[in-house]
Amino acid sequence: MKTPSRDLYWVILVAVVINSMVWLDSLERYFNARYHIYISGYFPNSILLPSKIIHEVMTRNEHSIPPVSTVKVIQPVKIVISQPVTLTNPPLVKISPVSGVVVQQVLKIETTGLLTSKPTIKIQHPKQAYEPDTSSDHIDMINDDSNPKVLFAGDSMMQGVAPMVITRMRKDYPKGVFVDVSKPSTGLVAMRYFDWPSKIREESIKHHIQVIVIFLGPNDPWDIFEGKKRYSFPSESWEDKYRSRVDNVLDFASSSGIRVIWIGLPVMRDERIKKGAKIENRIFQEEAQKYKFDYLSTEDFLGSLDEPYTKYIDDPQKGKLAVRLDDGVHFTHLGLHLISSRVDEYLRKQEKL
Amino acid sequence: MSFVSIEFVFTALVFYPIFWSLKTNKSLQVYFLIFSGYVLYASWSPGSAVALLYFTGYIWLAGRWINSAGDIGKRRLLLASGILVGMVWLLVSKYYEFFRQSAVEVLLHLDLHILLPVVDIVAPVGISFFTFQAISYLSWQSQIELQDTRFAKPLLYLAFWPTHFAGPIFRAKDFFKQLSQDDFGSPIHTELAVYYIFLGTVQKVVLANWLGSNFVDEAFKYPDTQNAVSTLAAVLGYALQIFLDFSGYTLIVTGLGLLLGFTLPINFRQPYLAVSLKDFWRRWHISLSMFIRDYVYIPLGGNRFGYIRAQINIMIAMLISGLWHGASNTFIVWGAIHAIGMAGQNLYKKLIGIKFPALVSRLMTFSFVCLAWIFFRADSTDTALQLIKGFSRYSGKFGNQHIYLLLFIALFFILSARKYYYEQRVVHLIKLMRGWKMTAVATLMIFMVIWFGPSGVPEFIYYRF
Repeated sequence: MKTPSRDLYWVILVAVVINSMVWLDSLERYFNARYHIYISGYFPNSILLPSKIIHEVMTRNEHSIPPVSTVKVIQPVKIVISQPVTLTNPPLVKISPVSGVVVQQVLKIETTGLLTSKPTIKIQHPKQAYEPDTSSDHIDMINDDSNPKVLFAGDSMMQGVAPMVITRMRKDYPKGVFVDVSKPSTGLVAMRYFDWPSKIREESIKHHIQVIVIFLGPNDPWDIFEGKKRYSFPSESWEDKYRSRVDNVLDFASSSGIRVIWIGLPVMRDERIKKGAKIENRIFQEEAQKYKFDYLSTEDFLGSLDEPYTKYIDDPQKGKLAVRLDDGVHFTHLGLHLISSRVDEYLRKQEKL
Repeated sequence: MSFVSIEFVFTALVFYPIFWSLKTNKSLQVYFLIFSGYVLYASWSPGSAVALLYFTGYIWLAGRWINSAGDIGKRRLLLASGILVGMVWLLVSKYYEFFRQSAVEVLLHLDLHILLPVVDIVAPVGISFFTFQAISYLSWQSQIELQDTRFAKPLLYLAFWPTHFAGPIFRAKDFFKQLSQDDFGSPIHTELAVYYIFLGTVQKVVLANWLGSNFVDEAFKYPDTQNAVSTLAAVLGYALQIFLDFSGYTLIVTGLGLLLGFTLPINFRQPYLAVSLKDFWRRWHISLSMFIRDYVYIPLGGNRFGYIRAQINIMIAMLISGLWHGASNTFIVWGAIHAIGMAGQNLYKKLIGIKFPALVSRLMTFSFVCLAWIFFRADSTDTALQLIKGFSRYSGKFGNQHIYLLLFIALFFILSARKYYYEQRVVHLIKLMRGWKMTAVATLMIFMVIWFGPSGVPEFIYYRF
């Protein structure tokens, strides 16, 4: 190699090494999501510090709401009853920061005398950390409860489903608010790469969401790293950890008066993903049941996880129709159409729509 | 492993010094290049790498038969059958399902309840590109004098990773000519290579992504909710996005090729400055256009059998070009639009022949190409038609982002017009800058690309073909 080429090679090498150090935190999140490894274990914290600062700067504007995991204290809510009331067993009331209906704790109830007629109750909300964005064109829709407000969360599978559902829904609810925040290569395992519970909470508050539709899972059958702890897949501890993350999302939704439709996974080609899907589906279903939310199974129309993988379904008229793409995970246009039709049906059944 | 992924950057930084250090032993260098090609391919899909190995075996044997045939007639016959078998693999793995389902629909409309068998084959990544390269190899074997071609030759040619996934289609004749030259194995035009790799990465990771996420993706996802302004922004945005994406990819692989000692074919020559559709196809995806000209249009007769026959040949070539991009109605419609456009322009030239000023011609050609892109990008023809309807909804607001887009388009055309001038200037600057200054600039540039780029690894549009 000639000297100028050699010099240039060293220049590029040094530039890449410097940038790798500067972006080490991002690099770790990327490697965690893609290869399920943590590289921070190999570096002292001081080396990671500059990259962490850069990450903070980059995401400062994105997360004005603290992550779910950091929210420990419920804001006090004051209820003023205009007429006298005697409470022998104060009801456990939950008031949502979103809809003003649900709270977990009532700290103070003021009474002004004995109840003589139907009281009027005024709820004074605490000032929220995040004030809803009222500058957008959606303001009328947000304040109008007759219009549905639906959030679509999930990975690349949801990226295919959400536009189809939204297109259908918009025909009947032109003023509805439909927010698609799906992001490929995400799930509930690599939380450092993408924190779904926080994102769902943030978007739900921002858009006054009434229903959340969730579809994810194929990126998840891998070990979970939290702090210095590792939860190996598959194991009971992994299931417990995964369940707690599902629970995290559903608990927020339940306490905020938001309905959830959780879409289960159909049969998968790759054995590891299939094994994970079985476990995940069981968790999704049990957790949805616990909170009285809807679990939408896709196994009955796209293939059961107990059967061998096939990318076709049988149609009496047209014979075999492809519903899955060659990667063994994603769906063809027909497959997406089948899922979106079911989601559409479920959405229209929701009381709030 | 994508060429814009961090994994590839790290791997390349290790690969190239090893490759260069083997310069004294050419055979070893060739085998190392083959090995790296298969490792890279297997990182996408191990099954595809095995399929490629079998396919290469077939192409090698077919090439030997063709080359060893005595007379030209026999060579041609063997060449035709060799190409046919190669094409069958491409057609079955990529197009069979599309044609099967379309045929079943047609038969049902005719009240014929005939179920066609399913052939479940996964199309390997880059199949459209390496099948065409394989055809070029067989064709080359039919033209050269008798020689004993070792298996390593087609093995390297078809696994040559810079062109394997999305071109440019590197003709066998040119590839093997360069392989036999002294340049092979050591970097050539290093400054230009670095400039290409960096410019291509900016085009893809920063600019194409910005256009896609701000103007294009949403409009094509929800075409029924678009107005005239957002539709126009989406159409213009996509025209620039696909160019920046694909030409960015080509720049990157051209740079990587130069570092291996290869000069890859030119794939783009400022296509949006074309004054006619014919001119556009001489500037856009040139390696494919030339391939279709040489292997479809000319064998069909080209313009040797009169005006009407020439127009029919053009239309067939354009339809094949459309279908080559994917098994979908949208690509067929896209090819048909260009076919009709080219035939229409030829008819105008023959009947009227009055030339427009260059600026008007450029504007008309660019507008036509942009409209055709709608079908190329849309998931279905319905989506494309819905988006086109958006032009009739005059309710849109002209916001700040649209001003940015217009400024971006203006800058794009200014830079396009003086592309070679800027290229020379930057390369000259790179040559002048050395040591810590160059390191600081390179570090800052990489930092900015990561800062403005999206999270994760963006996928090249042409990878899916």
